[in-house]
Amino acid sequence: MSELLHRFADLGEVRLHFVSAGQGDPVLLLHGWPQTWYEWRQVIALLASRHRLIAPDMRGLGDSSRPAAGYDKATVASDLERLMREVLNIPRYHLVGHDWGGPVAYALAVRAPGAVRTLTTIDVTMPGDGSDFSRGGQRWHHGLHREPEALMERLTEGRERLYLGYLIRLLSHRVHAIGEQDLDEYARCYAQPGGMRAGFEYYRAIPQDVAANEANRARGRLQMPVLALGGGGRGGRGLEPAQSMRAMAANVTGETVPESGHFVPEEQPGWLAERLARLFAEHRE
Amino acid sequence: MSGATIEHQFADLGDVTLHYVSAGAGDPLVLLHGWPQTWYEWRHVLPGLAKHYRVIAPDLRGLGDSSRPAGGYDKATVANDVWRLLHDHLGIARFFLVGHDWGGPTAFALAGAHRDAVRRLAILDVAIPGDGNADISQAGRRWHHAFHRTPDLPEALIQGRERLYLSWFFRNYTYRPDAISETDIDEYVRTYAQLGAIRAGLAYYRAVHEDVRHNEELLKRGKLAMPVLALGGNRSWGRRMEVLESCRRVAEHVEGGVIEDCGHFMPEEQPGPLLEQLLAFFAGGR
Repeated sequence: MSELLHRFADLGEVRLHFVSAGQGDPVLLLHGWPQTWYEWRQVIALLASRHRLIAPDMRGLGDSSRPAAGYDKATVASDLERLMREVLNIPRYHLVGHDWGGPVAYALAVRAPGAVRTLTTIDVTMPGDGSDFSRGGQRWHHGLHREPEALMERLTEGRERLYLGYLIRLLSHRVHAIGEQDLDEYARCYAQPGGMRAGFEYYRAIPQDVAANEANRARGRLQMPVLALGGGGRGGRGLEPAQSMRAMAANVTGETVPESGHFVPEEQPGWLAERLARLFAEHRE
Repeated sequence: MSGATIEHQFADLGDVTLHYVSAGAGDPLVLLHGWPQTWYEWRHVLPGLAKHYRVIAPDLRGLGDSSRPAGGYDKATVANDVWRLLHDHLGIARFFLVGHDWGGPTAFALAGAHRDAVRRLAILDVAIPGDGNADISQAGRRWHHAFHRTPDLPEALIQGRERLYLSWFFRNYTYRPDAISETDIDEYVRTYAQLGAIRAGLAYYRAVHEDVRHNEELLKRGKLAMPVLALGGNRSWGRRMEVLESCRRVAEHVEGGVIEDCGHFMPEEQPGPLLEQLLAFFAGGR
């Protein structure tokens, strides 16, 4: 197992925590909600012999700082663009995003198309892809997270682990993939002051994301190779992510991940690492 | 509540004990409350109605000061509680009926099961499940429907925070947030904070698929034939013309529209205009 380096990047309005490991063609891994860089731990271990992996905690989450605003995905993506360009000086990289990390990855690919060799989105659809992002209320947590007066911050205060654990279990196929100690690690971050708020802000920015992405789509589709994966088991989104990405990008391969729910990097780390390694090998410098 | 003497009584129906208030004399008129409320939501309109009618306002199964059985929260069963209270316990054969929020589908189920007993029916700011419109949750805008149907989680999050949760609805679903005062919220929270009351309230939402099936069956016997008054709040989270549209899909003779400057909590936000509408509507059936 390669050594994990924990570092911090002070970008002025936000301080990003990021983990790096390995050597080779660089890969930027973007986590989702309610998670942190930690969701990539197994994938990092599997790819570190071939790649240099960078896994940040996105704005407001994990051990990064929690600014009051800037949770639209274009702003979150600009943090990461600065991390890669200004702090790490990495001009080109493969980009992978899970859950909210997916729309952030898309926004980053729009912002810096020349830097992104390949884009992989995992079990997420894009706001502004022409469909209803919240699926007519089927994704009820979207509505709940977006409510004003900090309703959910107040309902989940002191019960962060219970709430995160419930949703993780609800959306997992392999329910033991995220164990009690893993849940402790996520809860450790989200239970900090502002942790839940920052997470909910990702949902409250959905209308902004929809407007931004509709404008992006009107300007044309992404040209780099895109792999869109969806969990093929209970809790997974199947081929929905592929369908969604076809509205945003010209060159999309869509696949489902067998026996995985929403949490692909932890439910099927071996399958995912192998699939990513193959994609990256096909698109070497 | 000047003028009307309100009596509090209990009816032991076997599997459930219903608390109900009554006031006035005359033709019986029954008021069915919604969530997250109790008979108390009728306090402003009750005295005006009691001048002309014998008004009966129960706490529905599981809510208020009624008992909280483990099951039976489909609206056909809740409606049958009310039927047993009126018919078996009080010996009332025919009555006027009003339902707000979940009291509306309960009133519809009661009217559908006892079509000759319900003389006139008023439905306030709610749509009827199974009316042919697949989405009473307004494409997820009413996220609390799906949240409340999710097992276990809402109980765990609301436990000990009942006032916070209920107040949020009272503030956000009203057009006039001052219509339900802190003292009024005290009264709602007094019962909803009791053990099992949140569970019982959530069970009303969890039974909605059963309600849809049941109402579709009811409608195979034809739409309701008694006159129906359908009113929606026209502001905030009021359902506007959706109430009238829903009722027209399930009843032959529907009148109504909106109450102005009113959100969801009509009997407390606009008791004056509501009382006027109800008195005019029921006077036509006496």
